[in-house]
Amino acid sequence: MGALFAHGIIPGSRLLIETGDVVFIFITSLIVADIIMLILGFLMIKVSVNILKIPSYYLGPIIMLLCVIGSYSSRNSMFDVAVMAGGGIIAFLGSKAGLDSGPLALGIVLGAIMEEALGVSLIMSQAAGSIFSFFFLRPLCILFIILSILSSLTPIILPRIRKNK
Amino acid sequence: MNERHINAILCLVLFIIISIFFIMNTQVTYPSNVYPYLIIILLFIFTIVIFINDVLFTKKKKFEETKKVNLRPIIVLVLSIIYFIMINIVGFYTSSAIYLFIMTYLFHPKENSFKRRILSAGSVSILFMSLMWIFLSLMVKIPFPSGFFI
Repeated sequence: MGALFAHGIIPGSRLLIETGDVVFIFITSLIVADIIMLILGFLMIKVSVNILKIPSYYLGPIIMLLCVIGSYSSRNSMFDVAVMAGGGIIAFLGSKAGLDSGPLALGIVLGAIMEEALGVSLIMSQAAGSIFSFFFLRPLCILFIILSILSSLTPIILPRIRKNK
Repeated sequence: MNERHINAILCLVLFIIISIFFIMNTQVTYPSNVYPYLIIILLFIFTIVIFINDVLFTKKKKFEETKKVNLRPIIVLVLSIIYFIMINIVGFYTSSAIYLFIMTYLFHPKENSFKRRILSAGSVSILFMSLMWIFLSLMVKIPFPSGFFI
């Protein structure tokens, strides 16, 4: 998805009709990459399992360094490194307070996409005439709202169901 | 300090974050301000839920008193923050090599001799940073921040 966006291709219903040539190259390269990964994985599995034997006092600082490199090289900005550091500290302190760090990572990844999509949807809803009907009355929106409510209530309902059993 | 106190501090921190977000968001115009307001409202609701559920209606439960305080996370946190600051001042490769050396030396098993710990930490930092320089600067050409040194 990121690679498609980088080439100015917006995924949607007309993706294959308008930019089929590029998309099929992506799909083919993914298939080729999977086949190569299968062969490499099969050959390298006995060697690569030795990574688990590396002591944590070597692995920890190296992972931290790779995190810095990864976050910096995406936009050549120290701000991204600061976001990574801040996220790490919040996740660590959150884990001490019993908060899960998974949603935090998901929020950082999906937040920007969600914000952009919401902005576009708001402008489209203004053009359509009604924000309420655009966001809440379409069948797909209703489905996602119900799914969201259900997933939010699951942590409350599931333990009670298990208790009753 | 019991669990209720920890959750109360968590709620307080979240309320401060919400207030800062709210004040910052007053300068943003429509439709860009809708998403931040949604996040603020959701954060506020969940903070209220934590406050009601875990602060008001929870049993007092004392944490197990541990005699030995684990200093390792604090050391890692402090060293990492210093490292992030030093990247822009000293340069990426130099600060990373120093950080790698100190971290590896500090957390190397204490049973090993001083000489072995120094040698091990030094060789790992020099080897890894050399590899990084070859792969990232020479081959991929990623421009890293440079300070007094590289």
